[in-house]
Amino acid sequence: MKEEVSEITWSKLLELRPEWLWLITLILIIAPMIFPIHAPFRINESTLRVYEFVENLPEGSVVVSGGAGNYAFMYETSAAFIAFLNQIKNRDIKLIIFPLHPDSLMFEPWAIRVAGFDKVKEYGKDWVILNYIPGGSYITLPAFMQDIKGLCRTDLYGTPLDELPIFNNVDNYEDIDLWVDCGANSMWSLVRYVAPYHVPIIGFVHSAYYPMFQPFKAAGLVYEFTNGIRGGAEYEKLVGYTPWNLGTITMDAYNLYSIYVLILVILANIGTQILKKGGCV
Amino acid sequence: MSKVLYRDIMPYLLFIICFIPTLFSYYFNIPLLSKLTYELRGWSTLIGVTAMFLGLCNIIIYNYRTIKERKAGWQFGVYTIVLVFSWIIAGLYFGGLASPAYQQMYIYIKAQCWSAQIGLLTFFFVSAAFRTFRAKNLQALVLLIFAFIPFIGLAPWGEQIWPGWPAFSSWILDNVAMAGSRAIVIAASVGLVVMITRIVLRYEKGGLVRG
Amino acid sequence: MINFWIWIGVALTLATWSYLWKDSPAFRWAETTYIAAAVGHSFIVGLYTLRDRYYPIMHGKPLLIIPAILGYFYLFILWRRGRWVASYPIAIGMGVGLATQMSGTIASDFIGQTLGLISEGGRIIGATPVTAFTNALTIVMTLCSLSYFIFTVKPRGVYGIVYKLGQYCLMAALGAMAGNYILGTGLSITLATIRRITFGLQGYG
Repeated sequence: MKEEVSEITWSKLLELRPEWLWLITLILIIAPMIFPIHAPFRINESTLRVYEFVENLPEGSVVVSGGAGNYAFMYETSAAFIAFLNQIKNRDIKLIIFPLHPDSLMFEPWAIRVAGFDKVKEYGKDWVILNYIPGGSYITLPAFMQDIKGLCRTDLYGTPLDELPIFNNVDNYEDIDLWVDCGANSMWSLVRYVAPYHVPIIGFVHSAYYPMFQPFKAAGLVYEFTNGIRGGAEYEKLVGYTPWNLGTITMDAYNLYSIYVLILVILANIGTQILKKGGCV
Repeated sequence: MSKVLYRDIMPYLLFIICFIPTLFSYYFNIPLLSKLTYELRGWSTLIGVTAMFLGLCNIIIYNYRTIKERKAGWQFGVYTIVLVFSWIIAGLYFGGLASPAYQQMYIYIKAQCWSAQIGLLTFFFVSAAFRTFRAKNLQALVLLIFAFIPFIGLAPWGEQIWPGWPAFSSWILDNVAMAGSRAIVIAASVGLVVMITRIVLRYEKGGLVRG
Repeated sequence: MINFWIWIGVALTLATWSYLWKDSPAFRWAETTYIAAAVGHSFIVGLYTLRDRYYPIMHGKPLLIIPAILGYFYLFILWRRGRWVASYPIAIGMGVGLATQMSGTIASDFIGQTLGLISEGGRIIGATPVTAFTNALTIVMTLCSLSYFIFTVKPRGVYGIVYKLGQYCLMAALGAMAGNYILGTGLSITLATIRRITFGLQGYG
């Protein structure tokens, strides 16, 4: 009798309507935004390596921010990218934005505005945003590495590159000191068409792609990359918190959501085993 | 015969004329080949410009048919066409891509819609995890265990329970997961090369449009 | 005064998430708004790109008018009887693109990964026991996983054991990706959707 009651209870639990699960999920996502827990977290070694590499860039370095694929506005990578912009904005580091997707034409200027980068840097002299070039990154990237001004004639505002002071000493891959990838899945293109020119690449990648890109790091094609929004939170902590602060805010929600999913999976597995023993599955 | 010539053979020849020099220029340092590849890349980017307008043409044709035949949801077809043109006019009126007004419009309409739609996945993950993440056999158990190691490693509470958890999770990702990913990358690269070879040798029917 | 666009964003978010309740006209509205916005944005980006790409034609390279005209042949793809005309620009794009992809893939994905595997083998000798064990394990797991993709040999005997081990290695890799995706990408996108609104209401963005 007791077993029957237990089996009925588990059976009902396993057939719980998904709407109730979704409602609890929404509460767990919103609650930490209203009542922040400020969960402490440590800095991972990969994020530290990225931070230190950027910190050790010599003054006058040229950084190209290229990537930002069609998931640019997913914001998983923006936490780290905005923190990166904060890190370099008070140093003499030139930034060239080369969008590889139409969406990144909107994402990167937005990130620059949020980080206050345009307030301390002069457009045309310290930073520039180039036009999106169609044809696919497998065509544009090799052309970019060999001759920047041959591929891109004007910037986003229609100014010829010859009239921009930043391009006085920047012609091709030899003048690029670092390539930053802030997209989701543009790393595939970068390891194929940028890495052969021995330009160091650091990436702020989505968590989903973090394990997928490990072979490229192990093969020495990529220097390092951060792990999604956790990496973004760690980077924000290293640089000093930014107004956007999505990474840090997410850590509280991570705590609650992960515990919730873990409990659900454990309950589901226990329930399945109990029902299996009772012959109900 | 002439139809086959200009609809089939000539495009294929053009493809080969572009393919071979570009491939050879990667492996042989011949200035003529490099110059030709450089020019061909420039041509490709010019050709690709028009592809950006194909989407507009497609959507107009599709929605026009829906409205004309009064299919289910034809009212949304009217809305789509009106909104596309309104967007273009508003975008150009506001000053184009670089203007703050257009950026606001983009962020709160397109980016917001996109992230809301993908954000639905979070909810579906929860119900999917509850229904399907069951260790029915050893392989599913291995998948489950290796799913939850980085899962807990990402969450801050993992390191509160055991301070070594993030390092352990990193070790799993950097070595165990990396080994499997490397095999996938190598196998995928072989597959891609084989597929390209099949296209070049015309074993694949896709690619070039045939009339 | 609250930005007008933020309220549109709120409405669109709620309309999209109404799908969790049921498929409704509100969700269809949000869906069609997204499609229209994406196409409109693509068109505007196309206009900007046109200005950039046509710049050399006006400034010393008039021969580039040939690929510019060829590009318009792409539009014939919409006309069933004239579809073959689009083969010409596609042929050029495909030729250059596939050649670049082939060479890049062989270099980084095949040769690069193989060299990485071999260099890990070289790092076993003279390394600390932990590093040596880790590298050896990685090599064994990679080779076992690769055996899973050999479809011409039947997995029997010793090879069968290697094949089975490869299966579990791939399960481990895919599990790690799944775990990272569920917590990382999935949750952060939902949070970003809400954060964008609150950020806008605070006067940023």
